[in-house]
Amino acid sequence: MLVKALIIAIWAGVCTLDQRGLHLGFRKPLLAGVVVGFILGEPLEGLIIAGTLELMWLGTNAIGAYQPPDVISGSIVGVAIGIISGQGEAAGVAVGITVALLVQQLDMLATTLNVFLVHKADKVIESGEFDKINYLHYLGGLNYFLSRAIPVFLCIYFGSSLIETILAAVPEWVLNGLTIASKIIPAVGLAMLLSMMMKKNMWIFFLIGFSLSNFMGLSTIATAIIAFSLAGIYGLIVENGKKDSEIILDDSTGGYDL
Amino acid sequence: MNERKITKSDINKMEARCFFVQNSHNYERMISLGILHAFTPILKKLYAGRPKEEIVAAQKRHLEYFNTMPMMVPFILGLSASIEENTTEDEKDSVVAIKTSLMGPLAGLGDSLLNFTLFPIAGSIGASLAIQGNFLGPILMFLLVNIVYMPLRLLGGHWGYKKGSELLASDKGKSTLDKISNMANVLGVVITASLIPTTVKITLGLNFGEGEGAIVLQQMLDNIMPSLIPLAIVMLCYYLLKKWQGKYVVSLILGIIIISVALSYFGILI
Repeated sequence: MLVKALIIAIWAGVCTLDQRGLHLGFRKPLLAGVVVGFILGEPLEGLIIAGTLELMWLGTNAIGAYQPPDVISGSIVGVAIGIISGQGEAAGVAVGITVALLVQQLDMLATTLNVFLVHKADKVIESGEFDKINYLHYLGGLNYFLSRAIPVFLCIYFGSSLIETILAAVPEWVLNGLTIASKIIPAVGLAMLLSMMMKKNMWIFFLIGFSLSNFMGLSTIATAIIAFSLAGIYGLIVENGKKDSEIILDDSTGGYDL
Repeated sequence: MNERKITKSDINKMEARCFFVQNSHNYERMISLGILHAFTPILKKLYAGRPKEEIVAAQKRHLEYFNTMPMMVPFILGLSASIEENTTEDEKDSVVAIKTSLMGPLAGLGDSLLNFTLFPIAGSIGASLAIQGNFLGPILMFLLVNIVYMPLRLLGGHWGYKKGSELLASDKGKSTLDKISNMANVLGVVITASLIPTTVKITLGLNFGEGEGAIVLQQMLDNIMPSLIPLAIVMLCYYLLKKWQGKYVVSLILGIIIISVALSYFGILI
C-alpha cells in the first residue's frame, strides 16, 4: 500500500504541474482519476468514478475571480477511496468533495509562497546573467507539486482506514443525499461559465442551446456543430452590421406592420 | 536593424519552456517569472555580448506583472520577440506596452473558446462514455483537448514572431480579435446551455394520493417541460454568483450538499 500511495501522490503532483503549464488535460477529474484506477488495479471501477466526478465538476475552472475547489486532489483521492473502500461512486463523491474543499486552501498557500520567489528573482537578475532565475521558477513548480502530493499521500496511506471507518458509520441516507448532490453540483460550474459569458443579447443563444439538447435531444457533438454555425451567423450579421446599426434599428421597428 | 538574429530553434526552445509557464504563479505578479524563464532563450540570443546594464534591464522588463491564458503565451512571446528584435534600446517601452495590452483580450478569447467551450465539450463526451464503462471516454477527451491545444503551443510562437506585428499594425487586427471573441462567446453560451439538461439531474419523489390515481409530481413537471428544475437551479446559482461577484462558490456547493442530504432524508428528492 505504501508504494501505491506514493505512486498516486506523485501522480497528483504531476497533475498539478499539468494545471500549471503542461496542460495536456490531466488537471480534469476524468483524466486524473482514470489513471488512479489503473494504479490500484481496478481500472473499470476507477473509470466510472472518474466519469461521475468529471460530470460533477464539468464547469469548475480556476478563472478570474473564482477560487474553486481543487478538483485534482478531489478526484484522485475520491477515485482511490471509492475503490479501496469498495463503496464506489457514492464514497468517491463524498470523499472527493471534502478533499477538494480542504486542499483548495493549500493551493492558495502555494500561490502565496511563490510571491517570495519573484522577489528573490528581482535580486538575482541584477547579476546580469541569464538562466540564473531558473531554479526559482522550478521551486515554484515544486511548491505546487507538494501542495497536492503531500495531502493525497496522507489521505490514502493514513486516511483510508479512517475514512473507511467513517464511511461505514455514515448512514445510508447521507450517502444517498451526497449522490443526489453530485448531480446538482454541476449547476454551480455551469452557472460560473455563464456568468462569465452572458451579455445582454446572449440570452437568445442560451435558449437555443438549452432547447437543442432538452427538446430535440441532440448529442454534444451535434450541438457543438450547430453552435459553431450560430457563432458564424452572429459574426456575419451582428458584428459586420455594427457600422450601420442605426439602419438595422429602423428596420426592426418597421417589421411590425401587419 | 532588420537582420533576423532569432532562429527557428530559439522559438522552439521558448515554446518548450512555455510548457512550464505557470510553475511559479503567484498572487503578486502572476506568471511573470514563468514569462521571463520562457523568454530567456530569445533574450540570450539578442543580448549576447551586450553590456550588463542592458541585460539587467531586459530581464527586468519581462519580470513585470503578467497574466493571460497559458495557451496564448507562445503567440504573445513570439510577437514580443519580433518587437524586441526590431527596436533600439530607447524604444523598449513599446515591448512592454504591446505585451501588456495583449494579455487581457487574448485571455478573454482563450478562456471563452478553450476553458468555457472546449473543456466542457470534451469533458461531457468523455464522461458520458466513462460512466458506461467505456475506456474510449478518457482517450477521446485527451485527443479532443490536445488536437486544439498542440497547434496553439507548437505553432503559436512561430506565428506570433512572423505575423504578429503585421496583424497589430492594422486597425483590422484589433477589431478582428473583438469579433472572434464575441463569436466565441456565442459558441460558449450555446454549449453551456445545452449541457444543463444532460449534466444537472434531479428527481422529485413527492406523490399526491395513493395507488393508481396518485399524482407523481415529477411526471407533472416533465409534462410542462423536461429539465424544468435543473434550469431553475442553474439560474438561481447564476443569480447568486452575480450577486456575490464570484465569491462564496464553496459556500454555494456546501449549501447544495446540505439541502440535498436533508431533502433526500425526507424523500423529497430521490
